[in-house]
Amino acid sequence: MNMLFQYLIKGKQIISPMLFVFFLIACDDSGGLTEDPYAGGKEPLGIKLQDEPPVPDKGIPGAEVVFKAKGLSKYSNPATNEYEFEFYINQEKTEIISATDTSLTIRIPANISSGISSLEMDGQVFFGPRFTVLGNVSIDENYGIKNGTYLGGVYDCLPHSNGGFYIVGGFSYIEEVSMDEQYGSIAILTNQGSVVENLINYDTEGTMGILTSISQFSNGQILVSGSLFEYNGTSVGDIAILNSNCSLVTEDVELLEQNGGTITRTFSVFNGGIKDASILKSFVTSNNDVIAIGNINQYQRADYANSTYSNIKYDITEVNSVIKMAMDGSLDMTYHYGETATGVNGIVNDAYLDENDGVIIVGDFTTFDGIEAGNIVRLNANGQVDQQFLANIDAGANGEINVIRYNKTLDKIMITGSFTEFNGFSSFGVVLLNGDGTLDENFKLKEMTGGAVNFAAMLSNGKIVVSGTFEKYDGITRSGFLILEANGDVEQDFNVPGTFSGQLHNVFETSSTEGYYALLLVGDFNRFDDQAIRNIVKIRVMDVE
Amino acid sequence: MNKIKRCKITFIAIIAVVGLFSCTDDSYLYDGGKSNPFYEGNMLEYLKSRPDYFSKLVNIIEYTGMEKTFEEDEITFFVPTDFSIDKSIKLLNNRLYRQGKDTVRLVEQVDAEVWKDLLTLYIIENKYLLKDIPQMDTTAMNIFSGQAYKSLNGRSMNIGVVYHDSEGVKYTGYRELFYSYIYDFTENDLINAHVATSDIQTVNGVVHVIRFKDHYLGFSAYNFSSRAISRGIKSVDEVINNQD
Repeated sequence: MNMLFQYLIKGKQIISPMLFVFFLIACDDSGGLTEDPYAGGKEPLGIKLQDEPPVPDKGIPGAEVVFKAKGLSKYSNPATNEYEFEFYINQEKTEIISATDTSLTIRIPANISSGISSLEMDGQVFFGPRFTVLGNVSIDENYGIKNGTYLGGVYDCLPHSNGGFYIVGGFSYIEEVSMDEQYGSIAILTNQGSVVENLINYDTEGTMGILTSISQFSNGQILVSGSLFEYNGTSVGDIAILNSNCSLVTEDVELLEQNGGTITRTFSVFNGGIKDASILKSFVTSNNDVIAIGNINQYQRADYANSTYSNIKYDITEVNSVIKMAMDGSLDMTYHYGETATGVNGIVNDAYLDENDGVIIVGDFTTFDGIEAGNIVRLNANGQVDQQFLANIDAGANGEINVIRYNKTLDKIMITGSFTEFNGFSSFGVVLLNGDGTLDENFKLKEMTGGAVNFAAMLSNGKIVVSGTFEKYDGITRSGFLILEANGDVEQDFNVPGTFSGQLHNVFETSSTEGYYALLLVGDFNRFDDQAIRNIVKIRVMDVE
Repeated sequence: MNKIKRCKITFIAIIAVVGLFSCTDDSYLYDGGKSNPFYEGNMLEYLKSRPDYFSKLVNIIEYTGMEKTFEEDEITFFVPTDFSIDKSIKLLNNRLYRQGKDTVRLVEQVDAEVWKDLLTLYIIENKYLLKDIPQMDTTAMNIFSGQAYKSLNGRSMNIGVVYHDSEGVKYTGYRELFYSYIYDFTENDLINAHVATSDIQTVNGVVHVIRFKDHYLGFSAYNFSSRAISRGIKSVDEVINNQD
């Protein structure tokens, strides 16, 4: 370039005319644009809803609220009360009381949940700030866990003597992702929501795997299960017994060494487990036996007498769907064992243990132990299919059942799945049963759009907590979370939270940080009441009756 | 010195002259002309005319009984191609396979409501060309947010035109249409679909075809499969028996 420039100056008598001609010809082919291809579009409406919070920014149905806006006067006629636009909060239409060019006064409708405001005109939508609808349900903002858990959800809880809970799941962090504070899928929380100081180092040496179930023996020890192969550095087979401080209960076993001597090695005291699949649910019966349920086929138990230090021999036994074990992990061969105990002909999804040590199993199957069953079956305490329950269930669900939750106080069962009929009773995936398996027809799910229910459980006061992917329930936008009455109706006061996204795994009745009635919700979710909260949240549920 | 200089000048002059004439021969160039944005027919006819992109889509339109919408209504349709539909079906099949269930081969195995619910997300009333849509800048959404429109589904969808930069000059480059699924507008939580071909004008509406390499039917990858599973999957036999 430099060189060329020099020649341009020094030898310009030749170069410049030549370049001139060159450019003249080079630009001759005018493929250029003759008109602006982007011109001539539709005029924008010139409306805007301002970001600043409305006045007031929270209130009950019937309240008058003022939103700041721009450019409305062109489209309003307050004298005749006619407006060319419509105003919505959480997709519910509101009454417009008055409008100036810069403000808009509306009335909160009778049935509505919290959410963002929007203005609609000519099919165009303008979003505005959020409005909080007040009612009986609110997040307990004093609860210590505000962000939730990271890298995994919370599956189950167990009340702790400190008034709080043990929580189990797949999480590695609570509140913040910090290498200093890791949790191996288990932690102890106080009622105020602070994590109990680790007495045992379960944070770094805890679970290798995820825990889906937790229950307690009468001596205070804890049973956990899920999909785990190691706990506190000791190998386990999906199930283990822990001390109340979450450390593994171990035993020392003398084993042969190759040179003929003996050496001690530490094992989990619960010598039994599953080799081929994870345990979905485990329970402690009234006489401290263990029942485990899953899509399982192989039970294993170490045979220490025939093992060496470096080579542990495992005895494998074929089992199906449900097994019972003693507290030492040994298989109970009198309970659902042998050639007739073939289990389900499909998939097990969930189960619970009732007062009489019976287990109710649900999933996607048509027979259990060769006996016809419509995706749900109950086993008596002896492991036999409960024929009376089966008769009460009758045809059962015409599709898969995913979740089952039992309320002991009321003896009611909620089941959730992708069925459309239960015993001829049509329902969009949720039904309420009595404890004996008969249908409670008082509960009827109302029309639901935008998605389905993925969890439902009845509380001891008869209300029903529901989560799902739905957007509207009974014609009103209530995204993903509901607290229903026992008959399926919605009470406005109990359904004010905004969008929930995800799935609940369990609900526990507890008290708020101030001592009022509250619910601890756990699951796999990332938003509750429009706020980014992950997998665990405590909500106050005030009862005004 | 002078001699060298003259040599160089002559050399450059020759190169310039050669360069000048070498470009005049453009017989290699095939000028496709300006593409014609108008299609003489209704939208359904247009979709049927391109079975390489839209054959499964046309299947779904017929299965859900939405032909009239595409034949007569004045709409703007952001078209998910068969590739996007197949991607979502593949994800559904993966989930079914993991659950040990039969996978889906026919569009009719999935509940019509599920298809309709998702397809209506891509349709808005009235005709909108690229030039009718306000600017959107994904890095400055508080200033240039595009504009939200109500889809036939009832859900608000965002449409915006991204003004790309040209040689470092902001907003002077080509313009690209975005169609976005709104999770939370205040948090700027959107899933964008890029329009690959815009402004195809049929008799009753405008077609914008969505780039398929990164688009799933239903925007979020699992939207389709979770809805389909929750509504129940029919077996191939059931579908065939129903047709008889």
